[in-house]
Amino acid sequence: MPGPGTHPEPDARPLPVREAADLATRVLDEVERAVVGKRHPLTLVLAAILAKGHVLIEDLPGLGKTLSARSFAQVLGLDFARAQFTPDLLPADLTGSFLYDQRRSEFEFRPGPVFAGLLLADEINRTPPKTQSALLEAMQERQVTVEGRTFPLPDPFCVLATANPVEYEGTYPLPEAQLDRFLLRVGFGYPGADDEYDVVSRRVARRREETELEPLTDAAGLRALQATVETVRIDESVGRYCVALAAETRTHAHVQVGASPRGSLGLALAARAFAVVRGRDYVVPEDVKAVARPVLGHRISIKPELWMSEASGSSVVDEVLKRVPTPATLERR
Amino acid sequence: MSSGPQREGAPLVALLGATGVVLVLLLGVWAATAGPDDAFRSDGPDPDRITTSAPTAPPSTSAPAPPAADDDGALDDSDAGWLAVVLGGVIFLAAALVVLAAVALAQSGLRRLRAPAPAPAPRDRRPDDDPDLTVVDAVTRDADVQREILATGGTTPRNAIVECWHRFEVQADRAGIPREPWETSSEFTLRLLDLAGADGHAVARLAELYREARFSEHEVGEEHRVAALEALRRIHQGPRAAVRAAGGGVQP
Repeated sequence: MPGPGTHPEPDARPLPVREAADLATRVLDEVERAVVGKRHPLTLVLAAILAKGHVLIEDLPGLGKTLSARSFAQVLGLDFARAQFTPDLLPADLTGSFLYDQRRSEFEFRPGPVFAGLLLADEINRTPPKTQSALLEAMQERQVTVEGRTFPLPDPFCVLATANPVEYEGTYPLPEAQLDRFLLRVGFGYPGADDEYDVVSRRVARRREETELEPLTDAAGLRALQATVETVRIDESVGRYCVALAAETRTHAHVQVGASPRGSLGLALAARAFAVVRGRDYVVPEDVKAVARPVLGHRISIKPELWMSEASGSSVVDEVLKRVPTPATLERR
Repeated sequence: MSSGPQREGAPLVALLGATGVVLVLLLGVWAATAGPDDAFRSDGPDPDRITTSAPTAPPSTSAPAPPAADDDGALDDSDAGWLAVVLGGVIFLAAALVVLAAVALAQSGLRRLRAPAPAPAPRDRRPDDDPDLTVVDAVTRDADVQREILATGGTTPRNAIVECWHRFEVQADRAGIPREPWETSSEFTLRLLDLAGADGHAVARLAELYREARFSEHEVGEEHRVAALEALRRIHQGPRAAVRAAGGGVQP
């Protein structure tokens, strides 16, 4: 891990897309040893990491949010830090602060947990907005400024934040402007009966709590994967499809505020990473559809009069996907 | 999301509810106006109006009794007037509501007649179902043209593969299965070829070649055209076998 204030790593060389897809598949297989039966949400989380994005995992307790973050950190060979967000957490507890070194008679910067390759921000909605915005600023800028000095964060840097969607007492829900900084919001949901039994039987068979996962790459390997995503081509018709989807959310009858241009950009970026996981160096419209719900759902504000109804960001995205025409079959070159 | 039938029934329910509320209110107004004596109890019929064949009383020599100071049992003129007004209003309102309900029902019926038939649900095939013979017919009839387009059509192998794939949409249109605008070409064609009972591996291979030709910048050469021709040949085998199984011909 580079120390705080060091220069970011040089640009990594992209891998051949087949090699990248093979590595991504092995990473998912390995993570799935710990998080059972959640292949699709895990694929989405990996796609977000490959797209250099951050993920908000919103689900009920006990569904593997923390376990999945820890598992990805292990398998991707990243430094892992966990910050439990509580009402008394201060921004300096996250970013770090200057402490006085009496031997050298000078102030020394002691980095906080944000200086990690993969940060698990557990229960991010339990801390006040001041601390939330300190983290979200670090996520966006990929650097922190303390006492007038700027420290770049390690590369790669990824935040997996968790939130419990049903408890409201003593929580500070993230405002829409801050939710927008997460590339994806995913939920794991309850496992099926067979998968749940698999969780039980595996735990009994290994005779201990934790699952040891094998690191399949490291920070440099992940940078190479991320560089591969940057080589993925997106046809103009597919790019315009992303823009049309985001724009359609702004005119939907249930919507107060629709997805911003960051939403259409997020669609394109996540779809590129999803294409790499699928073994392609070009994006097809099905990639965009696959990531549309987790990319756009949390960027949509529903009208207040519909808060008690079943209308939600995800339902709006579903309807938008049934309205917006997909790219034409024929496009001569 | 509410369903169609629920929406259609909602105005009628609201109308009946409103009618009930109006009737209850009118009853309340009448009861308040008439007072508790008339609303909740009665002294029975007016004794003056009871016609009985009473025995003729013997002529009296005394002076006739003075008339009663107050006659509680009978409706006076003002009560009868109120009751007539209230009853008239109730009857008028009820008639108006019946007319309104009839108009609403007629409008709803007309709307139902004018409305286009609901779009048929997408035709999907279960694994144990037989191929859809309409689709099979459309695919097999066009097979030679489609093969010709792929083999010699298009200015480049890339265009030939894309045009060949697009031909499936033409066949689907002839079979009465138009592509929805929100459906991607691949989603739609995979659904169509599943209905036709085509070989899934060959369909996946041709879909891969189509996607590469349409959305990538890869060099698409003659080897891709050859691979596409082979995939198309295997795709056509399934529907042709279905035609043979159906007795060599399919009714359109």
